[in-house]
Amino acid sequence: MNISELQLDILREIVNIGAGNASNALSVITGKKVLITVPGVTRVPVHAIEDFLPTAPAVILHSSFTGGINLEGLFVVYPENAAKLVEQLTGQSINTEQLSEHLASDDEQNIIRSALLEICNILAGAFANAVSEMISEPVITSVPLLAFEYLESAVDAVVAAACQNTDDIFVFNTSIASDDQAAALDFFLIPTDGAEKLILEKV
Amino acid sequence: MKIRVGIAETAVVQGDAILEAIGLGSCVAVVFYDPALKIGGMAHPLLPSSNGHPVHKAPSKFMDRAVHLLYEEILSRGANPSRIIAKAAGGATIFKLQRIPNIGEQNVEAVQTLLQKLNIPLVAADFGGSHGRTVEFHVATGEMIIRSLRKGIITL
Repeated sequence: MNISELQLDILREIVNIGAGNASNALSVITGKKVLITVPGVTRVPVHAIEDFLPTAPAVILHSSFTGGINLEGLFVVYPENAAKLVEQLTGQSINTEQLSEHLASDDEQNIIRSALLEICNILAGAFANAVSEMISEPVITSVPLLAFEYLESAVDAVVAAACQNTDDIFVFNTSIASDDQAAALDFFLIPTDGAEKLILEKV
Repeated sequence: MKIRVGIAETAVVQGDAILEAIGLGSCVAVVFYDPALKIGGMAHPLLPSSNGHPVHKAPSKFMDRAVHLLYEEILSRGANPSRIIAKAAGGATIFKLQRIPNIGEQNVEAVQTLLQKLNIPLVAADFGGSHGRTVEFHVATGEMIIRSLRKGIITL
């Protein structure tokens, strides 16, 4: 499908408002002043997706958005920033090594893991609320998931689902940052099942 | 010489070269190798089958198409079909997604079935789990080196 510049602007604005709401929520939880970058909406050929994504290992939080839209959302927090975020949330000071040990454990009750999953829950909920208002339909978030991985590995299955019927996938991305990086993450959204068209029909 | 084999790409080389697929999650990297001639090829598909899906510019994104293209390519470079062996890695489930079927498992099943049909022995494989992998295939030695954050380095 050909998407015009105007339609790309509309998609960008939706991500902007949704991510803006998510960043406000992050600001409230962490007590930090946060800034978000102008979101990008890029059509990426499937063979070039690896070049498009950051290559360092990170805490990757996943939530699906369904209902009025079909979007797969990934919040990517780099280890040093994740350690700062955890400290901000739990008061527990940890370094990146301890962080990766905590996240490698399969213990569902692990406090570090729970804190980060809760962040995902809150950010996804804030994003969904804003988008839901815009399209006047409910948007449902899935149970949040966490992996400590390379983003390109974590995103494989989502990319696969997005490119069953096309060779190009849309990637929406934006970054949230705070002065001390205690509230800093990259946010990626990948529409599946032609969701970019659906959104445009609804706004 | 190191050659990156991206998602939906295939490459075949002879001699002292390394084929590399980075950041495999649910994707599977498949290697065909003729040890006598030291010709090696790698494919990096991400979906199990092109069944019912139109094939676009990147047919190698599907396992069935990628394996057949790789087989044709390595034969056209002079490999002997009776000597070709396979090695493969990947097919992890990083996130148990609710809406999306388990593509990693489907990819593993697809590659095993296709190799059986082509009568190519899968001499070594590292499949599944919940960890990502970066795979190097050293064409000169026939070694497959797999790196992951949580499982370290293994050589097949």
